[in-house]
Amino acid sequence: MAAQIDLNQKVLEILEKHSDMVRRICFVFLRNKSDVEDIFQNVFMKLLLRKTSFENDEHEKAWLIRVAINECQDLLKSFWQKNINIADYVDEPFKDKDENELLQVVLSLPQKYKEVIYLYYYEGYTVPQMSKILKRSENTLYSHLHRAKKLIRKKLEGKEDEYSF
Amino acid sequence: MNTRFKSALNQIKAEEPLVSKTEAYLRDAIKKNQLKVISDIKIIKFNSARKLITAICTVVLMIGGSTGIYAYYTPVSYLSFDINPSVELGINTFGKIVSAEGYNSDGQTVLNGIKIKGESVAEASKKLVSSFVDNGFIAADGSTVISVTTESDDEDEVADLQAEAEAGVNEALNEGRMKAVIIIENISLSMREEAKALGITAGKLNLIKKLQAVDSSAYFEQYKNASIKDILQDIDEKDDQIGVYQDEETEKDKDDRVLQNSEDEAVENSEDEAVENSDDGIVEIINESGSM
Repeated sequence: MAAQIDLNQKVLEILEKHSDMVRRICFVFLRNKSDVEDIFQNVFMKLLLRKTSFENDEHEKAWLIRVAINECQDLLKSFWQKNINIADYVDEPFKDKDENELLQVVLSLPQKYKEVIYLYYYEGYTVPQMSKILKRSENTLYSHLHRAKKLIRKKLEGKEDEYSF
Repeated sequence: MNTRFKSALNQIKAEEPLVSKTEAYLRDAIKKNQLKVISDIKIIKFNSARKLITAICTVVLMIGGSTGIYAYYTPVSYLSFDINPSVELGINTFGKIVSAEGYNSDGQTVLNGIKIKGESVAEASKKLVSSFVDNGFIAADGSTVISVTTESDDEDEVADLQAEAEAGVNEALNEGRMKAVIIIENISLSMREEAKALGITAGKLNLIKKLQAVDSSAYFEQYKNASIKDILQDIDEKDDQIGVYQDEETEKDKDDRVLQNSEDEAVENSEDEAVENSDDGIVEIINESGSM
């Protein structure tokens, strides 16, 4: 019983520690406030339901990333998400015009490309590490990364050098 | 890119109400000791009336029965596989295979003994390519060219279908310890009708048309029964500048690519190196799946 209480307390600590990261992943994939709330809560509920502890902090973080991405993608695959598009988040304007432009380009990419761009450029994971997190072959991820960069360059229309891209 | 992307995303923080609401939600779950019950059911929450209404509408539609059954058995997009065996799969709106047709006797041979109706695109692609391997249609030297063509007018759907098909093909080749050149393209459903009338898959017709674009003397009957490898070779021969073929595709903004599986290249290749190597549209990397 005491161990269970400790575990529950640990979940609340992880919520505090990784809430921004999970929110960022939701931001990358979802454009609907209630969806973000659902997925955010589902991720931490799954954490609460997890019976085993993590090997270390990196394992904990990677698990949260994988679950958050999978939750977002499962939601986007659902019938009503595919057929009824309710986007109630106005594109969040950032103070810096260039940052805003770059983000809008990234957010307009297909889902499979957004995940590699986020993990590679924001979290700093290598392709072999992403392969373990996403449980996909390195081959596929290299291809996705290449195509994502190509699409971003195309959408930036000649400004890619300004972004060192 | 790295700095600006990071800087922009760093501005995204979990809103305080969202965190407190989640914390309260978790505390409530702990308090009520409902975890066991919750763990046995899929967590579905409806936080807004809109979603609830949509869900109810979905249920009503499903109760419609006949509409649902019709939707299940009606293909909305297609996926063709060509080596010389030519096979076309029909995919319904739920992403399941609802039809499988061999366009020549080799295609029918490949389909014999495998059950792919009702499977997902990835699983069906895997089974089909495994059957190519089992029936000896994939050469051990890695020279075989497999053309995988999605036939759909929906861009989002095309991306999903191609990703799933590519994953299935890669898995089957890896399991069979084989390598092959894979070409993945998309064509419109209208070209499918034209190809069907000619008795070939749309993927093959697409390549024959590319050949005719560089060689006006190439006629359809000559290539109707040719292998994809031979058609591509003739395209290359007629056009010394191989890049022209790929540039033409780029201009048409098609998501085609040539992906060569390789088991003998070193996995140590850095990702930058691999990405650089793929700048000409050819990605040559080892397949090695890891587990968490």
